[in-house]
Amino acid sequence: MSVPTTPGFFERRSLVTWATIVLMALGVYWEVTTETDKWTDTTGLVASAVFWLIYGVLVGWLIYKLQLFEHRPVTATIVAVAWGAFVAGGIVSLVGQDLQSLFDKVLGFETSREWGPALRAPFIEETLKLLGVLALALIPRVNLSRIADGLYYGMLVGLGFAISENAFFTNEAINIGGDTVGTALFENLLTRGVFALPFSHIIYTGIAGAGIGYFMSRRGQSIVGRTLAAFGFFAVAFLLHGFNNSPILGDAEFALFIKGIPSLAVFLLVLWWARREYRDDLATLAGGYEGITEDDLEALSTRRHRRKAARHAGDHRRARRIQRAQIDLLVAADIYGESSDRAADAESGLAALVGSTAPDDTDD
Amino acid sequence: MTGPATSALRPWQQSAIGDRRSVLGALAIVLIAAFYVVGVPFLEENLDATLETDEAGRYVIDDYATLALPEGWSIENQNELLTTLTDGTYQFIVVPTAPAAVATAAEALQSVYDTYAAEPANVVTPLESFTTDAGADAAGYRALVATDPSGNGLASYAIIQNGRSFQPLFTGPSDLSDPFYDDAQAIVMSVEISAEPRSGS
Repeated sequence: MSVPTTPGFFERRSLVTWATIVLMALGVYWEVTTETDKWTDTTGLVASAVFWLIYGVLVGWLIYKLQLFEHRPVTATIVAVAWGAFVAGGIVSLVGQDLQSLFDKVLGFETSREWGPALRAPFIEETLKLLGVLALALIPRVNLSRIADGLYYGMLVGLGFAISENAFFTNEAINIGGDTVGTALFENLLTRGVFALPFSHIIYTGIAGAGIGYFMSRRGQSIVGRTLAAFGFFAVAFLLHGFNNSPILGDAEFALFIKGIPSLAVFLLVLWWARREYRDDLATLAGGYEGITEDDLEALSTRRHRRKAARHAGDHRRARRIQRAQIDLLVAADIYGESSDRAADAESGLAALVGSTAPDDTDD
Repeated sequence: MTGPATSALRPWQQSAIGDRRSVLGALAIVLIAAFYVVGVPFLEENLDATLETDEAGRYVIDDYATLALPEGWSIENQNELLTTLTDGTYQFIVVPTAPAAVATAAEALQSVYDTYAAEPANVVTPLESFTTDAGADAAGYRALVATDPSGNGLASYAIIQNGRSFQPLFTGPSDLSDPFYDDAQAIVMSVEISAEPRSGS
C-alpha cells in the first residue's frame, strides 16, 4: 500500500537523535546488568523477555496496522517501543529500589506502603515514558505534528515499557514465586497481557502522548496555553495510573476492572477526538481535489465505510486501489504541503486510476 | 514514495545541531533522565527518614505497636521487614509484631538465651522478666557474644501484649553496664501493643 510515510527517525543533524541513541544504549546496559545481577539462574529472565518480546511484536503490529490514514515510519515506531522498553524500563530497573526507599522516607513507611505504588509508579514511569514521546517530537524527521501522532507514539512507548515490566514480573513469579516457566507465562499473559490491556501503560502513555501531539499541532496558539494543555494530558494519565495503583476499592480483580474503566473511557475519548480532528483536516484538504468527492470522504472516514464502499463498487479491487490513492494524496498534501512533489506524485497516481483530476492551485 | 525526504520537510521541521530547539531539547531530555538516574539515588542517600507518629506523638512501628524514643534517637532506615533506629553509634532493630506463639515473653527468648549462655566465652546477664509501663509482659537480657566480629554487645527483648509478640534487638557497647542499655530499657518500657490495628490501617 502506498500510504505515505514520514521520513523516519535518524537525523544526524539533530542532537535529540543522538541523545536518544545514547540513552537507549545506556538503558539496555542498565536493564541487562541490573536484572542479570539479581539472579544466578537467568532461565526465567530469558524466557520472560523472549515471550513478552513476541507479545510486543504482535500488539505493536496491531497498533501499526490500525492507523487509519498515515502510516508512520517503522523506524520511529521501533524507536518508540525501544524507548519504553530500555530507556524507561532500564532507568526504572536501575533506581526502582532507591525510589521506593526515598518515598518511604518522605511519606513515612506506613503511608508509603499503602499509597507508594499510586504515587511512585506514575512519578517515574509516566515521566520517563512521556520523555520518549517528547524526544520523538523534537526529532524533525519523525513529524510528530498531530494529536493522533502523539497518541500513536505514546501507545508504542507504553507498549515498550509494558514488555519490560511484564518480563520483570513474570521472572519474579518464576524466581521468587516458585512458578514453573509455563505457569508464570500463562498466568501473566492472562492477567497482564489480556485482562489489564485496556488499562495499561499503552493507554496511559497514549493519553499523555496526545498532549505532546496537541502542543505540536497548535503552533499558532500561545505557548503557555499549549504547555498547560500538554501538562493537563500528562496529569490525567498520571492520575489514572495512580488511581489504578491506589488502595481505593481494593485490589481484587473485579475492583481492578472497575478502576480501569475511567482509563479506558478517557483513552477512547482522546482516540475519537484525534481521529475526528485528523479526518476533518483531511476533508478540508480534499476540497482542493476533484478526484475526492464528499461521498469518497465519507467512505474513507472509517475502515468499515471503506469496505462497504468497495463492496458496492462494480470493480472491488479498483475501488480499493482508488481509496488507497486518495488517502495517499491527502496524507502527502497534509504532511508535505499541497504543492510538494509528493502531493503532485500522489495526485498523478490518483489521476491515473480515476482518469480525471483538476486540483485547485492552492499552496502551503 | 518519491522525492528526497529532507527537502520535503517543512521549514519548521528543519533543525540541526546548533539550532536552539535541538540543543535545548536534547539538554532537557538528558537532564530529566539524569534527575532519575543520579538525582533519585542522591536524594535517597542524603535524606533522613522520619518515623510516623500517632495522635499522642508516639512512634508507630506497625499497625499494632507504638513506642517512645529518648532524646537523640532517630530512624535510620525502614522497609517492609524491619525498622532500624539509631542514636548515631548503636542500633535498635525492630521487626513488626506477630501473633504470640508462646505464653510469656521469657519463653520467647529462652531458646536463644540458652544457646548464648551455654558458651563460656560469652558474657550474658540473667534473663529477667518485667512489666512494661503499659502493663505488657516483657523479658530481656544483655550479651557480649564472643564470636560477633563487631565486638559490640547486644540487648534482646520480647514483649507480649494482647496476643501479639514484639521482639526488638539493640546492638550496643561491649560494656554491658554502659548507659546505652538504660536507653534500650526505657524504649522497651514504653512499648504498647494494641488489641486492634490502628484506625485507617
